[in-house]
Amino acid sequence: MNLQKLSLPETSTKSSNTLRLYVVTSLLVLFLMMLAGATMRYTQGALIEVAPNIFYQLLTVHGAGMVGIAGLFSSSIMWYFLRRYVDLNTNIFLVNFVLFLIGVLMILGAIFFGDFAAAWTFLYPLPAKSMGVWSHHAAAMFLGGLLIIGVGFLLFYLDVTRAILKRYSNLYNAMGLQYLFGGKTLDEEHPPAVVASTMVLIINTLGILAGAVILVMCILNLYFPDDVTIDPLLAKNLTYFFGHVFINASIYMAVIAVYELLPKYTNRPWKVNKLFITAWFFSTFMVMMVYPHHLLMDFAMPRWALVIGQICSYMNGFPVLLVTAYGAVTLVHRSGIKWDLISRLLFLSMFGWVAGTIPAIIDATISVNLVMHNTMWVPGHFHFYLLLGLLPMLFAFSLFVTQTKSERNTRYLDEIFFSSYLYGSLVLIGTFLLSGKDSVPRRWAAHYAEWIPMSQIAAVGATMVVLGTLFFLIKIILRINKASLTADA
Amino acid sequence: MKHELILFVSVFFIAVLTAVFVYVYFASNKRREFKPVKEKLYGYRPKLFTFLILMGFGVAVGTLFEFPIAKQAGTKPVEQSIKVTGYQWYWVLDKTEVYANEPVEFMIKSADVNHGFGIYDEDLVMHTQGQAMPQYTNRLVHTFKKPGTYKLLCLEFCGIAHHNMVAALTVLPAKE
Ligand code: HEM
Ligand SMILES: [Cu+2]
Ligand SMILES: [Cu+2]
Repeated sequence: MNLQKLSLPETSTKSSNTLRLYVVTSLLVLFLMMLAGATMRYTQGALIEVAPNIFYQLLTVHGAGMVGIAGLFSSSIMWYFLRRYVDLNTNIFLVNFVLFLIGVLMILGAIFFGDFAAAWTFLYPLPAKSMGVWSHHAAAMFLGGLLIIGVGFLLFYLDVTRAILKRYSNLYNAMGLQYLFGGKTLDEEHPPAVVASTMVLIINTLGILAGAVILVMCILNLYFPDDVTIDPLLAKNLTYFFGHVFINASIYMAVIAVYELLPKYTNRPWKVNKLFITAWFFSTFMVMMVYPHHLLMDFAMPRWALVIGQICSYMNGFPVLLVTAYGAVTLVHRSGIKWDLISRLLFLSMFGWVAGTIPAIIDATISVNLVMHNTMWVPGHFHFYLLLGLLPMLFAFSLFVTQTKSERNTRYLDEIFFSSYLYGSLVLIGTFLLSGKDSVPRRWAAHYAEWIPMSQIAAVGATMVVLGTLFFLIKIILRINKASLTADA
Repeated sequence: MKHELILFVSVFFIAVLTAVFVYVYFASNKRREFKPVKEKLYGYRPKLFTFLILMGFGVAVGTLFEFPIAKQAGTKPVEQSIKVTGYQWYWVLDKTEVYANEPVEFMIKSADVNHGFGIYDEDLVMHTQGQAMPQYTNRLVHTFKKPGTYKLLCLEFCGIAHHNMVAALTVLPAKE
């Protein structure tokens, strides 16, 4: 079924085992974090009773766990495909994994043994001011865990940079900018994966560095509050810059799977063109400039920053998102594609990514934000592009690389659980958005009676998502040992 | 009204997008040459993108002309002014009664961590909000149209009793 044979890099047992570790761990963590998410929705729906301190611990672990694993899982997609074009180091990829695990253990310890519950955004000075609920050590443990995870990612991006520079000599050429500005004739064989990876390494290195700065400052402030003081507005800017860039970078890494796999399923090539390169070039800046939309309700921010936040949010959607989705639709239209689990997930991911951006952009309008900020509208839009955009990319990738020749046909099960996942997600997302429209605050452990019915419907959706995910998880784990993880068809 | 409009606009665009994807999904069973499909769809692309960019830019700029956030400094004194301070986990207001139909100025700050100051009416509909931060004062100006007892809910996660951080504000009928 493939059109152009991709040159596969030397696959050693080590590299496929490392990928195995990434895929299995990521799926397990995703599943566990979903259980935490479902528990929160059950609690808000008054279906079960969970004490507020536990609820906020679950909120913290769910946020940190999901964002972290989204980054880790996506980086395995980038690694897998980028390796076909540049020479990446498997050991460093493995080091990233080990540091991630250490960080996760620290975070889990801080939350479940240290009672830390300041949410994954650790907004200064909350980690230091728990009113006696958690200690400074617990806070330092959590922040330190995040920091170690960040170091792992930085090492990984350093290796990516080294490898890309070795082949393309500079980032300018790797992004294909010489075809835009240099007057060089476009080389259609320039891989989209390289363009995307270059953009990601730039933005995410900056994002993680900003995160590291505020993490270190917060840790120092815990122990030396008189010597290290932090401006809370600066802290907010750094935190949201880091958080925004990091989660967006995850999607930009994962979308490489769509560029590489959708052509196989449609038997049509996805080549770079000038618009594609322009889009990625613009997004590099846009994605970093839009973060003030998290600070629209901080009136002390300079007005120009809020104006940039709003206008860039509207413009940010156009480059990569629209160009990619339009490209995907063009590829699929009248292609005679065979719809199986993987191709459906790939196509769904394009829908979810764009659709989820719609309520996001609307909320980035200051006058809307005045009544929607920090309501359930916000988890509504980001679960939209995470559950129906990012995760389908991750699942499709995992299913693809674990394909084996002697596969049992599970078409009916595939269809049932795919539907469970899809419709469950729509219910979960829809109820978040409707609750947001009803002004229900986000991050509330206990809901007023008026808000409970919506959360109960949400709980049904959450359960369906969990079941769908469990199926993907089992399906992949059952065959991952047999699969060579070098699947190319 | 505003909340319904926001929902309507979102649902509208999501519905259009869904229709496109569903159509392409079902229309994909027949295979055609890629070249004509590509040429046709890429032919629409400049028009569609130009339209969307202009619309997006228009809305983004248009909704800023009357800047939705009150001026922060150098303003004339407002008759109805309330100092709001957030504490873990309660609000302190130096005045809890105001009149409808006249602007109310809230000078919002925090004594400890970040809080969010959200103003809800009796039907639990949020009218407006602003962040409460340590070391900074955010100025929020709002004119209440309807008298009643408004609820002030915390909208920024501030610790274990975040959801219990609620106060009240009485809005009296407009002065004659
Ligand atoms: C079964 C699937 C899921 C369920 C039931 C679920 C549920 C929830 C709930 C109830 C909240 C808190 C809402 C509130 O503020 O009151 C939440 C927050 C969040 N979720 Fe999920 N979620 C799911 C999947 C995901 C996925 C796949 C991701 C990311 C890849 C994710 C990322 C987040 C993040 C970043 C937050 C914000 C945490 C915070 O406010 O600090 N969730 N989720
Ligand atoms: Cu508060
Ligand atoms: Cu609060």
